[in-house]
Amino acid sequence: MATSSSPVRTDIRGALFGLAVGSASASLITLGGTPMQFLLSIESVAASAVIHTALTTLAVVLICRSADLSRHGVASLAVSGMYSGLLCWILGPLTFGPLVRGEAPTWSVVAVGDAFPALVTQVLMGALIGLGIAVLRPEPTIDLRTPDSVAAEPRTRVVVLGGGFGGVAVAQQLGRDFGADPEVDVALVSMTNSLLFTPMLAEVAGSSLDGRHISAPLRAACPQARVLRLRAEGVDVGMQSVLLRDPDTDDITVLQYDHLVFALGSVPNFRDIDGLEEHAFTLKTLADAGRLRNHVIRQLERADGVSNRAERARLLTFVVAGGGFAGTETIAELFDLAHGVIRSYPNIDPAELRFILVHSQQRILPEISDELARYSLRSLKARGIQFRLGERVIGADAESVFLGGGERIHNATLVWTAGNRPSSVLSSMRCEVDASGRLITDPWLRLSGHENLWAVGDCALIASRSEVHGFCPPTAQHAQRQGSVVGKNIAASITGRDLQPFEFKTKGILVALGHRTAVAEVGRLRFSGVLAWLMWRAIYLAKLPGLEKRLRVFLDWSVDLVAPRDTVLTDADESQPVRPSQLTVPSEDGTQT
Amino acid sequence: MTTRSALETGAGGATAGIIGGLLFAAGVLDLGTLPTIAGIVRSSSSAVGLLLHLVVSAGLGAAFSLMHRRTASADGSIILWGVLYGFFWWIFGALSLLPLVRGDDLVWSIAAAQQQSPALVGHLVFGLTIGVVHHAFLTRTDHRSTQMRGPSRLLSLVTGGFSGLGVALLLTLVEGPISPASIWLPMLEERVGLATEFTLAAGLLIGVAQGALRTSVRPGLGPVVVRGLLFGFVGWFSLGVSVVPALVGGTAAWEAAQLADIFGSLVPFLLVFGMGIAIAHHALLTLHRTLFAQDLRLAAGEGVGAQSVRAAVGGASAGLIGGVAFAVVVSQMGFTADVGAIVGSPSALVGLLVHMCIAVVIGASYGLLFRQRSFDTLSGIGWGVSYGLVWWFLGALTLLPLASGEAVAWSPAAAGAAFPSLVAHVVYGAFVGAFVHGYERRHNPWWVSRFEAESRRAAQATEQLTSSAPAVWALTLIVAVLLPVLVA
Repeated sequence: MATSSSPVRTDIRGALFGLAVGSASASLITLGGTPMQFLLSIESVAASAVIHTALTTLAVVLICRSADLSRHGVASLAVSGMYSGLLCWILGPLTFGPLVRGEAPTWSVVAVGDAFPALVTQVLMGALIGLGIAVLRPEPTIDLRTPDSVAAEPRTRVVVLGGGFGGVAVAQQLGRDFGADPEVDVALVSMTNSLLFTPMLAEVAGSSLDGRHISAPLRAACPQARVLRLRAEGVDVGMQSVLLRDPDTDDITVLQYDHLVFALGSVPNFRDIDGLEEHAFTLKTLADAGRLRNHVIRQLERADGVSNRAERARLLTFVVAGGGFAGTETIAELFDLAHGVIRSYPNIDPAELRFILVHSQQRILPEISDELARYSLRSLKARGIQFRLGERVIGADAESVFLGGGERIHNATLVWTAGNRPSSVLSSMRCEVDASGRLITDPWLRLSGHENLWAVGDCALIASRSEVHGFCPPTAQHAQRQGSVVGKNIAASITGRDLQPFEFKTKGILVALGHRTAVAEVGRLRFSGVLAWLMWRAIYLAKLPGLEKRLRVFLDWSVDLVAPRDTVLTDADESQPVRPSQLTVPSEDGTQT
Repeated sequence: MTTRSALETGAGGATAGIIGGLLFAAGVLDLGTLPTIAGIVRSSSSAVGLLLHLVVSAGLGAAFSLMHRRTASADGSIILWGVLYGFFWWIFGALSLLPLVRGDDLVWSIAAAQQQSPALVGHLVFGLTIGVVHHAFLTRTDHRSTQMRGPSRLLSLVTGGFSGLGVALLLTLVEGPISPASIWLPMLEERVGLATEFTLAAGLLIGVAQGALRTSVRPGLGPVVVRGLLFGFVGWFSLGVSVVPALVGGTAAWEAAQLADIFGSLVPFLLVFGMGIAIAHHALLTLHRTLFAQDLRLAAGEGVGAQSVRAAVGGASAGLIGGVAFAVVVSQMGFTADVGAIVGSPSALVGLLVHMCIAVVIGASYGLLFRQRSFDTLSGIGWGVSYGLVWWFLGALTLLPLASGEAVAWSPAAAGAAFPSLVAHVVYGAFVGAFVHGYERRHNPWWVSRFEAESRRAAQATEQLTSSAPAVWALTLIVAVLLPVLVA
């Protein structure tokens, strides 16, 4: 009943069966010469019979409701019936019986002795009811081992493009709403098989965390979704299909959808600046973080053996473009990495290390308050990090970075965090987008003019009355909430319920500034220094998906307290240093390459 | 999988029934039961009664084996089905059909039930016998079970024996009401000096028996605890009530008055010989698997850490809700002060707080021990109530008096006085089981999957559950509810 019949039909069948059994047993007991009073110990025979029949009906309905009848065998249902009879005896003659008589239930041995005839009756009736249900249930026992039971064609196909916070939240919400319902198929398309916890990515670049420890497998996070490790190549809205490519074999797959969710995140936007794509590192993926870490260590290795002062200065100059969250955290982590391992490089004077942050505005961290931004600038400057504020990178080559003000910085490392854009998959679609190419959504997170296209996260422009700029910022906390709302709204669309609009106000902002320093805004409260750093670690540790990952990161941090950072090159087998231009293939689905 | 023919199974079952019937008859030989049975065919001859009894026993044995012809029972759960089958025929046969056939009034009174106490133990022995024979000779060979191998039979037997001996040895070190002398006194009487030997023998025997039945896939500690409790019950009525009194005094102690005398040994049998040995055996096998399993498939599954915190949180929340329901019953009876005595306070409020803390901790332990053990609300309630009853024996009858500084008395009177608490434990367990199942349904519905291979695994797991768990749930409730009522 539970699997193929509606609950109401199950209830009606159960109620009719219970009514029949209840009235038949009441009649038999009465006709057999045994007064019905022993069941509830009330005087009226008619009232006893009616209450007995009603309780029996209720018991049968409850058994049908609480048991997955397709999975129980005959003996199992018979025994479950006996068992239910025992429980009903405790509830009925032992508890409600005294209450009906206006007495307090005592559950004493004396009361139990008085109610013993009812115990025998209800155990026997329970067994018979269980057998009756087993015989009368509408469908035979389902054997889930047969492939036919799981291979049914789904009625609704939901495709989620992107395995970041937003996409995973959509799949998880749909998993909660539909479980293993074979009529709703959820496919999660991602280039990687894991969810990357991006707030800790800079620490991976800084060699204080292992990359695997900040990623959670998608299959574990979304057990009810089909995870497809493919790259999204294009969308045909008219045909309701998505073109996907296997990154290993280049095979093409076309996936049909009834609902399509864009959760593609963003990819670096080099703004057509000369030499940038070839010579700048980015920090969007685990691979990016690993490459940047190896590159920094490799520069230290080389500088330690170079006597030419100009070349040493170039090798030991690290430039980060972009003074937002990513840029600020990255330069702080690179500073800690280099200075944390400098003892291993006896030929390098720490004063030779140069760290330069280039930012186009006069204040860094535009996402946080002036006060905390000033604190951050002061704190980083105090360590020796240099700033080029109000400057833009206008070009780069293998040995230098060129700034708009005319300055040329000789360097070997340039990290680009100054711009992102949505995946190019979106450019093939005829949808309403903003100047930067983000999909514009309505309050229910659907694309304008499309009932079955949805967008969340960095690739979407989502209006919000709660935010200062009127739109949701591209943060994980927003993407997660948006994904959850889209999941609920898709479920509502499928089941014919009302959609709910998205509204969420930023809970707080945390920015790590390297060694024991951070800034934090939680509501109107502002924190800085060690306290904010502890908050950063505690909150993000708690936000990490899964206990195992939390334990591993906690262990990484604990070891970091008593041991130097690791300088092992994880790409040491490669004979030549690898330039970013040879490595970085910006992901088109916003996840990883 | 291999299934015997119906004829072969029926014949085997009938033979088992005759063996069980003979053991039943041996127990009631001196009680005048056989002429009563002969009364069905208007005779008063014991021989006619015995013959009729054996014919009926053969029929019931055959019916049982045919019913369970396709049941896979690698873990010996069929034995518990047998015991339950025996109980059912006590209710349906001895208490209902027999009076009707003999033309007597149908009276389901407590006095009639007490009068039929020998028949109750006889039916349980009969059920145990047909269950054991069916398990040993007629069980379906399930190849799927062998694919998910558990420990080898020899290893399980050896560790079972060690567990039994170890737990029994520990028991021999205990003084006071839990000491072997106190436990065995009603059965051994003037030979109570042999209590240590009997304790060690019983521990070894029950340990080996549990080891012999533990050859299937890993069942999880929660079900192990509940099953262990029931095997303690099986040990009690087979050894404590039947074999030992027969060895010492020449007859089994199946009458109501004798059961009341021996009742004090029930709880030690349940907790020590049953649950204690089962836990020790489980721990030894887990240790062996952790240290020596070279095949990864035999090692621990997804690891203790995975999902454990969520399971504990779900269980603790369920414990909170169940604790409130429990408190309603307990406060109705005015027992909250008893709980407060644990921390030395007579205050009812303190008692309530202590009670809620205990409820949350036990709920969290339920969440951990019974993770992925229920697939519908009924199964959730089944495990929840069983676990609640484990805590009635362990907590209300044993730990609470100890913690309150009172003497532990597992007498019929003490069990009767604690009966309201039993009802509260049932209600608590039902709430906890149902809530934890709802929590799993929301966060980790392991029993459903849209994927074929995973569906197969889930179907196997639910089949294993439905082939053993209902008997476990029902027997636990019967043991807890019926025995105190019969002897109190």
